[in-house]
Amino acid sequence: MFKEIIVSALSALKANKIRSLLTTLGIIIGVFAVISLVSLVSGLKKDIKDQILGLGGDVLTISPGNIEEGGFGGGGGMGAMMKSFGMEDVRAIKEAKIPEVKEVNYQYETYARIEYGEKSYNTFTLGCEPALFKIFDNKILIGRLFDSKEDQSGGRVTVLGKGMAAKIFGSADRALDKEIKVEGKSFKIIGILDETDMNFGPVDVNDVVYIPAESAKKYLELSRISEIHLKLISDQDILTAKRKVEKVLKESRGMNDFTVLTPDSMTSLIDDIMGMLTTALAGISAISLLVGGIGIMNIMLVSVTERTKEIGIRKALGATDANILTQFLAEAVVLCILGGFLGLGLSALLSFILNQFTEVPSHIEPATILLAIAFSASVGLIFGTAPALKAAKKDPIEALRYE
Amino acid sequence: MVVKTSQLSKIYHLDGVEVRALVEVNMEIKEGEFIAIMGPSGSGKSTLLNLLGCLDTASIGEYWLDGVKVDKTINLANIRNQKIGFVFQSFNLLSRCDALHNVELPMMYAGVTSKNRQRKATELLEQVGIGNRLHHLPNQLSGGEKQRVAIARALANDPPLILADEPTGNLDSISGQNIMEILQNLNNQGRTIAMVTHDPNLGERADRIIKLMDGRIVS
Ligand SMILES: Nc1ncnc2c1ncn2[C@@H]1O[C@H](COP(=O)(O)OP(=O)(O)O)[C@@H](O)[C@H]1O
Ligand SMILES: [Mg+2]
Repeated sequence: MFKEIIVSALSALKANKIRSLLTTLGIIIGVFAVISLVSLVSGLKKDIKDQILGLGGDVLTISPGNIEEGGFGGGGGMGAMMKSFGMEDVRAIKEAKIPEVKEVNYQYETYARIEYGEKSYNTFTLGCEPALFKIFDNKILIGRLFDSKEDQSGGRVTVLGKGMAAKIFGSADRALDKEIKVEGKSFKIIGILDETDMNFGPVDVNDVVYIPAESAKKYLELSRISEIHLKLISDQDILTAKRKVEKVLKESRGMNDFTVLTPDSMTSLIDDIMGMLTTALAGISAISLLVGGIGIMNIMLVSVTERTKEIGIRKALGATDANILTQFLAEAVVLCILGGFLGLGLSALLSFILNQFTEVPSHIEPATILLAIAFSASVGLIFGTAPALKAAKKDPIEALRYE
Repeated sequence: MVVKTSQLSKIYHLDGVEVRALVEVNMEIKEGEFIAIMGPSGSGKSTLLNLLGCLDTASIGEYWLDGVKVDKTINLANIRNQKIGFVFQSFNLLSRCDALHNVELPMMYAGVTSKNRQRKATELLEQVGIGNRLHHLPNQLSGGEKQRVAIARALANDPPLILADEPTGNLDSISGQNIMEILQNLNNQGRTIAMVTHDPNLGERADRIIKLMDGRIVS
């Protein structure tokens, strides 16, 4: 009987292909939107987590603003209201000589104009101490890194990521010893970094231009330190080091307007943000499926009226109210599930395109697929019930008389 | 006795006005009988057929069908499925289903397996002379052919009673004659048939005529 019900539902839907498709459009779009967004979020989450874990378990990151007090991103926008770090903060940490800390590094960040001959790029540029390369385990491919002497004297030397070097010079090995202009000042390329799959947020590390921190201050007129990184002796010391650094900074700054992020706290922060996003998505999906469901109910009601005669005939031949109810309910559910699969197919296509042609990661998990189909089926059940009941309750004599 | 009614009455209430569509009908139909129900328009023929066909229940009175007392307390759908075969004036085939599938329907609701349904439906369609039209949709069939499919469908579950409401009303006279012959053949094979008709020539070919007037049996 089950097979017959499904076959009969499919044939009823096939009899009205265009209408069935239009009816289920709400479900298709709803499922498509939800799956695509969920996949994107879970892809991004995976990506961001990979990056953070890529930093290693022995790096502390100090950011301006206090997350616990809502200063991080809250209170008028990131950065604008927050007092960034200055050299005095870096000095304070260095002078405290915390035994667990191996390297202290600060960095200036900007998007700088990079020129070579006719070519010009707007590129993420880091003013940093040589220690940064150690902290992030960057390996030199050709040439050398700048040393502390060049850093302290503000030397006009630069190290390029491999991707950037290839972009400007065609291939990385042609870049060495060439002069490029950074914001109009010429810098000599002394080294090229080996390829890495790390990212700074949206920035590909392979495309970064590195110059000494002092040079960034002097020639690019940067004075705000955006982040301080601490490399520890061992990843066992994370919490002790975190507490000590917090104490030092609080004393030197006189207030608690910064956050020391451990790799763990960064991943849990991401989890929080993604959790919020997912909740918002669930809301959107509920609304879109509600709209889709109402569409289904509407058309099913019309269809029940149109097929009054059919209902009368079936009842005369011995269909029980339950038979009729099942028949129309099955149609609604099958319609919704088909819509769900179509939406799923569209999101699989989008995911494929994103993964194939862009850097945006997208990742459809099996649980998401199951959820989408279960959701569409329940939409069919819930919104198909009223039309199916209407069909089941029809009086056979009146239904037979219907033209 | 296939049908026995006692004081069977149907009263409709239209805007507070009582319409006595059927008044104290006492009738019997024996197994193997072919009866014609006749009478002017509005005399209660369809109402009687609806009650006999278990599409509706009486306001007053009693009705036994094939030994079962028919009232609101029993499952009318199952009774219709097992004990009644309907043949309608306007055929009432499902337009989306082919001839075979239409004949299978009553068996589907009876829970017969797909294989047995197909075998039986094919047999029945051959029996009414359209074994070569199994997979035609209703709109690919002539009126007479449609009515043959409907007759095959009425026989699907071997019901003790076949009810036909003006089965030739929508047909030309030749097709009508053919349908009448099929019904008579079925009757000769022992089927019990009650047929509503306006046509006195057809009525005469039945074993017996029940004449209705204003909801009462007059002869
Ligand atoms: N559902 C109904 N509601 C009210 N009156 C009805 C209904 N069905 C039939 N009647 C009335 O009952 C009477 C008998 O009708 P019907 O059995 O259809 O007659 P026939 O089939 O002989 O033409 C008519 O007066 C008709 O108007
Ligand atoms: Mg009538």
